Parts: sequence; structure tokens; C-alpha cells
Amino acid sequence: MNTAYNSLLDPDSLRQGAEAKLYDCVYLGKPAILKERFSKKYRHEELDKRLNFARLRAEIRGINKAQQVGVKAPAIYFVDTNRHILIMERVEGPTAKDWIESQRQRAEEEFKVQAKFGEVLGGEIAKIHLSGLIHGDLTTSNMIVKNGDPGNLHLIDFGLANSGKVIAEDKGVDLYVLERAIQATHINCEHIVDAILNGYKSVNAKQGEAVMARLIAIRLRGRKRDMVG
Amino acid sequence: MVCILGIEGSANKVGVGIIRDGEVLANPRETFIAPLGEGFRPSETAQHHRQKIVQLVIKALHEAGIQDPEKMLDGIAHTKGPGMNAPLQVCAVVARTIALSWNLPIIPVNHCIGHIEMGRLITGADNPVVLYVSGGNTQVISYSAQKYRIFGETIDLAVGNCLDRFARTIRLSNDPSPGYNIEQAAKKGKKFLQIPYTIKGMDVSFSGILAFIESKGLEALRNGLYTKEDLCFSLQETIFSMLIEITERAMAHTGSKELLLVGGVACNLRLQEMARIMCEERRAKIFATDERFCIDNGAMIAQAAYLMFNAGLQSTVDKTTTTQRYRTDQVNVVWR
Repeated sequence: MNTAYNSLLDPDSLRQGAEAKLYDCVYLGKPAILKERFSKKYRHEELDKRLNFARLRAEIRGINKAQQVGVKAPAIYFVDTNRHILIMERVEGPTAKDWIESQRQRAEEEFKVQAKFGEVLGGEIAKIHLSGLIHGDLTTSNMIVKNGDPGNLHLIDFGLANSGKVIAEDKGVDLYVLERAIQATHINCEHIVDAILNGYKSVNAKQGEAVMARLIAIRLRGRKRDMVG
Repeated sequence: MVCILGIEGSANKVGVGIIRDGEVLANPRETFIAPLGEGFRPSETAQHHRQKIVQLVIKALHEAGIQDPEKMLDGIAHTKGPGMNAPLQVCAVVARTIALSWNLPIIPVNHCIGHIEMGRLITGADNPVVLYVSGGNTQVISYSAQKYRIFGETIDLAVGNCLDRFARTIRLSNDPSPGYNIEQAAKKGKKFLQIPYTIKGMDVSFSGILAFIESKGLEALRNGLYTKEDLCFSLQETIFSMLIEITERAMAHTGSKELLLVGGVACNLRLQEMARIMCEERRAKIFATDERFCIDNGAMIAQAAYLMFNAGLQSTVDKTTTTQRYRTDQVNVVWR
């Protein structure tokens, strides 16, 4: 049991995400998660420091901004900028990835429930985009369906988020990344992508139109990639 | 026993490989090396392939000890795409000719699938995440439900293309390959130049990096602040870190514990080292091959065709067209 930062850490709960180690802990009596962006030995020290700091900062800013516009994201409890550690609220529930796959058994209802999930997700993304925030890593691993309720969706992992001068192109790429992640991860789930785009457009028609036009152009660009091997 | 002869020539390499039940019997190859400061052009590359390909077929048959191809071979394979069309057509014409004259079935193969299947054969990797990096392709791939699915890829330049073009601007030789010469120069680099680092989810972008190093990088070179070696070092460290990061993201997302490196850029020992460290940090296994099989070769086309042939797939001569664009995830993987 580790009592660093007034938190009770459960060392057996270690999970390794793409860029950080995650532990379950209890912070001032609340269930929490400790996220440590450890130094990556494969990359140059200077680059590693720069990236870990930038990602930590992006995550804090991204979560703040999302919460400001009413998008659910885990509350931040504690930050250690030297060790790139973040302690935040533990949101109980499956990742969207696991949740989508768990819906497969219930064939008839599946479509309706998944479509609802897609619409909620699209709406949340439109809201953060409208505020000038880009998530930067929208995959179904980076969202939690709290208590398995698709209406109660939390976005996580804002380490690649950026805000500021955000144009329709950036928003389109954000959606394109998500679309591709769903196509690659979830078989026969095109209807979820459609629902996401509908939910996205329903929040703000002007943004929706501009971003859809970009998205179409970005898709064509993506397909062109395979040229010479 | 099934024995396949495969012909590859989608870029500046032309190769003929013969595979019999997982054993590489022959795999000779020739490379077109462009003059200093230039890339390889389609028409010149095709001319090179035309001049080499017949002797490569004869050499492969000789090395494999095949005296009677009509009886000892079971099929002829060629690269359908993706690749440069003129060189692809040279290989397709030869494949059709020998298939008709020896009365053998013909099997067109997706080049990227060839890389993956050859990597699996040589390393014994079972169901890995694949990092496929070459002059024209940059993809992070994982298999599920009869498709090799692309989780991440470049949204503009391929990594090898970025390296090749940088080598041209600092006038590094294309012999044996620009990437190899950058790798050697990078070993002597010490000073790290900050270069933009662009990843979007599991995708990467290199065009901004190339533009940056061709302007700010060359400026620093002229001012004497950085050497050519420093630039090679900084470029390699940055873009390889990006590749390893998106690969790790895909491994975390899919939960995979195996990584396979394929494609010409995967020969780079620094990239292999970085991949190995990343895998150690997350207790995954890494599989890599050497230049014989990383770089385009005929055996990889033969191996993919071998699997297709055993699954009952073959084509007719009128369908053996070539195509410049043929995505990895378009192929129906019926053999897995």
C-alpha cells in the first residue's frame, strides 16, 4: 500500500495503456485512478521530456475545457508535473470498445442501443469542437460508458488534445480518426458511424456542414495513400 | 508439395522467388539505383526491370534445381499492386508469358499482404500487430475476421519517401539505398534538433516534417549549427518515435502481445531497437526479419500466392491486370 499524494494505491491494479501506467487508488476517500506517463526508454531523452510534459498539459487543459462545455470527463484531483502523474476520478464502466462488443448478443435491440450511443457520442464531440477543442485520439478505447449506460458517456485520454486555432480541417481529421478506428475495431458497425455523424450535425448545423465537407475530402485523401511499396 | 514462383517489381527492386511448402528455394533480386540527387522514375525503373527479369527467372530456377518448370512448379504469382504501374506491368507480362507457356495457373498478389505473410513465415509470429514501413507504405495493421485491418497509417507521405527525399536534399547517395546511408550518418549524429512531431490518434503525418527539415534544417546546416549527421540523427529519432508510438497505441487498443516489423524501412537497426525496447516495456514479443525478406523480394509474393493457391484461389490470364492503388484491407483473407 502506497500513501504518496494522500492516496491509497493498489499496486496489483496496474494496467498499461498506450502511453501511461494506470493504477486504481483512493484519493481523499474517493475512488480514483493514478495515471503515470513514465519515461519511454525507446525515444531520445529530450523528445521524451518534451512529449510527456506536453501530453500532461494537453490532458489537463482538454479535460477542463470539455467540462466547461458540459461534456463529461473525469475530474482531476491532483497533478505532479515533475513525474507526469495525474490523479483523477475513477469512472466505473466498460470502455466503449468493450461495450459495443458486449451488445452483439442482443441482436434486435443492438441496433437501437448502439445508434443511441452513436448519437450521444457525436453530440459530445460536436460540443467540444464548437468550443475549439480537438480530442486528437478518438478511439473506442478512449471513452467510458459509465455503468453501461450509453447516455452517460465519458471522454478520457485527452493527451493529444489541442485547442486554440482550430479549423474545420482539424475537426474533420478528429472524426476521420474515429471513423477509421471503429471500422478497424468493430466489424459490421457502419450504422454506429452514421449515428455519430447525425448526432454531430444535430448540435450545430453550420459546424456540421463545414466539417462534413472536409471529412469527405479527407476520406478521399486517405484512400489515395496506397501508392508504391 | 506445392511449389510457387513469384515475381515482384512494384518499385525499384525486381525479384524472383521460389517457395516450396514454406521453404525458400531461391530468391534473387536486382535493384535500380537512381543517380545522386534523384529519385527513381517509373519509365527508367521499368526499363531496368525489363533488362534484368529474364535472367532473374533463369537464375531462380537454376538455384532451386528446377529443370522442368512445367512439371515441378504448381503456379506463377506476380504483384498486382500497389506500386508503380510501368514496373508492375513488366512483371505481369513475364508472369503471363511463363504461365501460358508452361501451362500453369496464375495468381495475382497484393504486395502488402506479401510482406505480412513472408514476415509470419520467417519469424513464426502467429497473430501480431504489423508495422509495415517502406518507401511507399506506412501502416499499422492487425488481423481480424478475414481482413488485415489498417489501424493507423500515414495521412500524407510514406516514411521511406520522407527519408529518401531528405537524403536527396543533403545529397546522400542512393547506393545501396538512401535510407541505409541516413542510418549510417545518424550513428555519428549527436546534437538533437527539435522537429515537429505529428500524430493524430493512430495516424501519422510526415509532410510538415519534411518541409521543416528542408527549410529550417538546411538553414541550421548552412549556419554551421548542425551537421548533416545531426540532422539525420534528429530526423530518424523523431519519425521513428512517431511510428513506435502509433504501433504501441494499436497494441494497447487491440490488446496484442506480438509485433512484426516488415517493409524496407524495417531493416533499419535503430527502428528495430526502439521497437524492441517498447515491446520489453509492455512485455510483448517482437519479430523482425533481415534485409533479404524486409526489402521487396520475389519469395514474399510466392508465399502469399502459396497460401492463396492452397485456399483454392487462382486467376485467369485476362484478369491479371495491375493497379497502382490496392489497399491492404481490400483483400479477402480466406486462408486464415
